[in-house]
Amino acid sequence: MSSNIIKLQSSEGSILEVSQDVIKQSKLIKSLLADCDGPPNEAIPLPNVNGPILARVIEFCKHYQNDPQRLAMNSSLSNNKSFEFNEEYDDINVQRTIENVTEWDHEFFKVDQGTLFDLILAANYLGIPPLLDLACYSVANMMKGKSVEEIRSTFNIKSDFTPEEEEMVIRDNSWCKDL
Amino acid sequence: MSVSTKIPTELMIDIYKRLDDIGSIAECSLVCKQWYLASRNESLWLWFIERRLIDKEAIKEMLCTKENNTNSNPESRVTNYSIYKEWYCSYIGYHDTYTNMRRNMRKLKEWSDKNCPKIYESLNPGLKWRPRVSFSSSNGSSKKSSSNGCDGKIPLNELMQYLPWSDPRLNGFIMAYHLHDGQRFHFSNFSTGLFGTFRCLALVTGCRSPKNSAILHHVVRIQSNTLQYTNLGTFEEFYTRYVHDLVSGRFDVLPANQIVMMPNWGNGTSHAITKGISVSFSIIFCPEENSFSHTYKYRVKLELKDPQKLRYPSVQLLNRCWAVQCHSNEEHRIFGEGVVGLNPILSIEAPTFSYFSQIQDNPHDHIESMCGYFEMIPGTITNPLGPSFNIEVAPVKLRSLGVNNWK
Repeated sequence: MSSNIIKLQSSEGSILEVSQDVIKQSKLIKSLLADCDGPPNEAIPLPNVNGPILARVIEFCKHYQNDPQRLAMNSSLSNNKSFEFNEEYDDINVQRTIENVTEWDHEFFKVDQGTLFDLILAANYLGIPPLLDLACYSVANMMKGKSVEEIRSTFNIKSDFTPEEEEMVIRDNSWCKDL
Repeated sequence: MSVSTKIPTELMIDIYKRLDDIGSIAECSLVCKQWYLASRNESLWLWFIERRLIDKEAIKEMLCTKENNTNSNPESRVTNYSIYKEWYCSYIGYHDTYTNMRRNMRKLKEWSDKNCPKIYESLNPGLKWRPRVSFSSSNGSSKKSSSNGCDGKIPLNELMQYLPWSDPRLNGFIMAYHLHDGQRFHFSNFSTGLFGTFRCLALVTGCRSPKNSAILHHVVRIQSNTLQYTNLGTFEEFYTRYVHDLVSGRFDVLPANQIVMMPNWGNGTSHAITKGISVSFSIIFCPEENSFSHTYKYRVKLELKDPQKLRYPSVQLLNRCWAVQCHSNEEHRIFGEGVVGLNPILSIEAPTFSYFSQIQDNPHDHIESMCGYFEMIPGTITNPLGPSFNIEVAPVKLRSLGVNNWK
């Protein structure tokens, strides 16, 4: 019996086995494991994550398991303090952690919108900053440079503003346009 | 039901942060009410404020002054959103410059805290470097004040006309004054100063960048009597370079918080070691002096680096000799006793000595390069321990010091 393997139970009840070393990238699971002595025999229930998404999350963690740079990278989104500037002289532009997006990342996030949003929710729930970062980045890329109408149709959202409200928001926004 | 509606506001904010584009966030805020609420979230704007290194307090002050002036409704309280907005509108065309300048200032602060806390105050440009561009603030539509179209060229001729320094058109020059105020009293000592000596520095405002509509601040060094100038780049470039030089130790700082103008390395410096004694020579061109002949100011640093190589406990400077190469290929030798009236002794206890001096050339035959040597006597002059020997001052080309860039 390998003591390193733990079981995770998805929302629909399926059990996935994963090495502790892989899944401890999840802050949630890491803290759950810290609370008990040794690996639990029972599967850890994760009612907020379904099987296919959990499998993808594990795939992501496996890929980055041996990437200390990525692991060390605290999410610049969730923690303001971790956002440090590179003190290099010629670092004129604001440092972007996202510049580290790899070919693999691109492939990994080539998924439908539903899956992408589920990954964001799962990454947030499980506490996996790099996954959250990259997933948010993928969504942001779908918005960048688009008009309201284009964004609404991309994400299939209906406006719930009254025309007056919409007019007000447009006026309120005017400062960040016209450049 | 659309998939995106399951995204809670908190995660929507994370997506906005990744979007990192104010215009796109504005579009998103129009999509639906939930997205709008996320787009006005205070933590989102705090994140942007910190990312841009915005001086929150300073902008807050700007905002409050404005509100007092317009007597606006009390509902418009100062929020992170309004601070960011005020900053954004005030520095249009300068957002990256602002952040870079703030980063420079932070770097300088860190360095000066460790080395010479007082210097930070005099080198901190504050917010005065900000371009005086007026905007119609009411509806947010920005309208830049008409700046003389100079097609990316620096309107230096115009600048020269402006030189009466009290002229209100010289808003950009406030910076030069501001920078110098802190250290003006140091200018009696020619070898130290801020970016140069007083009145040698000027900032030119109102030049359109050839690349975009941004207005550039240029730093030029002006020769006060002839109004000749040399271009030192935009203020941002200049300041970044200067802070980098300071932080990396290119200029020495004296105990009285004076910055030595002669650099420790780079253009106009040379280094040589003879018998364990190093001689560092730095020389700068001084444009504010007589414009017909050239004046150079220099520093010589002597240091006993390797006492074992010297094989004497001390050594005293006896004579100096400079070999000055002129444009006509003629070489002048200047020989004299001691330096600046002294015969310094280098020993293990007091291994260093440095002094400042200057040299002026002949208006008809400018100096091309100079080198020299010091004659040293082991022990002391009164109690010599061996025969005297020469230590080398490696040559420096003066042509490279920017003399010929003056227009």
